Amino acid sequence: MAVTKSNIPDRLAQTLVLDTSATGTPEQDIFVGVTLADKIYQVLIDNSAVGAATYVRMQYATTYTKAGAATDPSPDDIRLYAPANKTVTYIFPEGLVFTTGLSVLATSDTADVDGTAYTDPGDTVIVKILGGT
Amino acid sequence: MSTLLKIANVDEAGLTHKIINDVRLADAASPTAIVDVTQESGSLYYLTVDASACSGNPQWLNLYLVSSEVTIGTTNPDVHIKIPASARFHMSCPTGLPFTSFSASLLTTDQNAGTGNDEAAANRYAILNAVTS
Repeated sequence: MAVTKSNIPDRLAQTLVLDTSATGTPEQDIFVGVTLADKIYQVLIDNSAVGAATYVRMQYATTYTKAGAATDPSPDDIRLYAPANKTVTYIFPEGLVFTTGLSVLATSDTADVDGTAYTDPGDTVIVKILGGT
Repeated sequence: MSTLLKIANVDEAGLTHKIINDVRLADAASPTAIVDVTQESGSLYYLTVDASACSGNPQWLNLYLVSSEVTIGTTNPDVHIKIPASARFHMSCPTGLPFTSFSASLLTTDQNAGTGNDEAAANRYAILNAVTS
């Protein structure tokens, strides 16, 4: 018997978060602090069902805090854009590092919304976030 | 706009992709954006920001993709990503990120209404490279 031995490389990213209907209500702490991931390697936004742009907003925090007064806003660490009726993929080969946690929402709002809820996308938006440690 | 912006745009030679380079994406304490760089619509495929010389502060890369009318502090960016200090950032969009107009800025504030870049003010500059159609 011919035996071949190979080393399987370490996994670069091992946690996939899938939101099949992303909305303006934040999904908090999707990687359980940094237990499941402390880097973002890939984000896919399937906006093919929506006739308007969708923005996926993320904060490096276990709780997404909406923008408050102009003097005390809580802006995004990351905001990614998907044009109307398009699916786009963002890949970050070295990973975007966060140290506390990650919280995310999807909205049609370009501007920060002052204290109130973000507008839901016009139809079903699928968001996939691949993280790793 | 940075006076150091360079673009390889040679459609007439049958080369269908454009290469963008700016060795001082933010060139002053109150930088302006590089605006409508490709002078036409297209898709973004690859982008890097080399902030290895920027040791003092994280910066936020802002991309403005739906309009060529860009005023820093007023126009909400479509893509907004935190670039850590002393780091190189790489992003790939393998299926393309469609844009109507491609503009970019780099600030040391995460606020939509922010305007400044403390790294450029200290003569520490970040380099932008991008590939578009």
